[in-house]
Amino acid sequence: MNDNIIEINLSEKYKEKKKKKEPVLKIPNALGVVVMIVIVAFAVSHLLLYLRENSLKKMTARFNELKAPAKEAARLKKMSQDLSKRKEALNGCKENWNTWAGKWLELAKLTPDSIFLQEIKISVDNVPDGKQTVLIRGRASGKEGESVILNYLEALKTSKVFNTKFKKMVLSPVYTEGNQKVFSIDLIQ
Amino acid sequence: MNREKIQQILILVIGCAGIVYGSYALIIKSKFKKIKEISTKSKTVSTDLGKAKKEVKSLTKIKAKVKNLDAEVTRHERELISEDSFEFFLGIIKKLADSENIALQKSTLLDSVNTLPANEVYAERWVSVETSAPYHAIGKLIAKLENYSPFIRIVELNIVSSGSTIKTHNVIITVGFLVKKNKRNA
Repeated sequence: MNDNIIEINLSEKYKEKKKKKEPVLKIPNALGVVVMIVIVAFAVSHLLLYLRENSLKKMTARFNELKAPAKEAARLKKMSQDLSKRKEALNGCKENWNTWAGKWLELAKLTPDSIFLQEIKISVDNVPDGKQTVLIRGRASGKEGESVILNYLEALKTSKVFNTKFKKMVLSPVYTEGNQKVFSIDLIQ
Repeated sequence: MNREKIQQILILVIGCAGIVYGSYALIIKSKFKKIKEISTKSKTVSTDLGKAKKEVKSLTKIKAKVKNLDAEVTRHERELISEDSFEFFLGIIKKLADSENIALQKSTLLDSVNTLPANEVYAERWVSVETSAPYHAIGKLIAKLENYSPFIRIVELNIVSSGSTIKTHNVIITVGFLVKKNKRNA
């Protein structure tokens, strides 16, 4: 036992042995792991970048390919909008403009002999919608003047030529001048 | 652990941290920055590409639509008054009035009116004419004007009887002509 103690304390061999048995710090290994991590991170980032760049290149190439037809499509779209507007304007005129030839004839037909028309006035009230109003001024002769006027107004109201365009027909106050009844009727769109 | 080992560990930690930070700052950070930039750019290009694809996809449809619309507008425009000038409008009215033996007494081009507010292509011109004629002759003139083109209309008319025994009446007619605007007049 004592021999052992002496050996432990004094032997150089033992010292060297003991030194070898102590845990060795694995510096190179730890560094290696860090370097590996860095390399992996670098590789991943590089791969990601490569993939993204590649995808962007493809997309840009495809976009450039479609640029001209897309431009043409946009131009045609604008052209189509312009043409639609023009068509709408022209159709609007055709459909909404009043025609007067037929109405003129109808008015002559509806006016009885006992009514003498003094004035017909067509005017545009609301520019730009172009709605027209008509003023018919006249005289009805005879004792039955009022009845003739009322019948005349009724005939105008029931005439399809007039009532499709003029929703409102208003008789103004009727007054007497000699043996005639003076009246005026407003036709409003 | 002796002091030497602690120093070694410290050097190792600092070294590793240095390598990690250095590689991050010098290489990885810039790579990720570039990836981010490309991602943003990709998003924009992708959106534009989507739009372009959509437009190209509808190209055939639009072409057909434009063709139809153009044909329709051209068909309508053939009926328009071809010239935007007072002489031309008056020429039309005069020709038609002559055919009904109506003598024009006065004709005036009225100020331009804006009956088509949103339209930059067409405009309506108003011409006022004064004459004296029987009721039926005025009716015929109106019919001839309206038959000449669907884009001619009677805008205003004022006929006043001259008396119960006289067959001719004084009349002022304002005729509207729809025209394609001249660029100089637009």
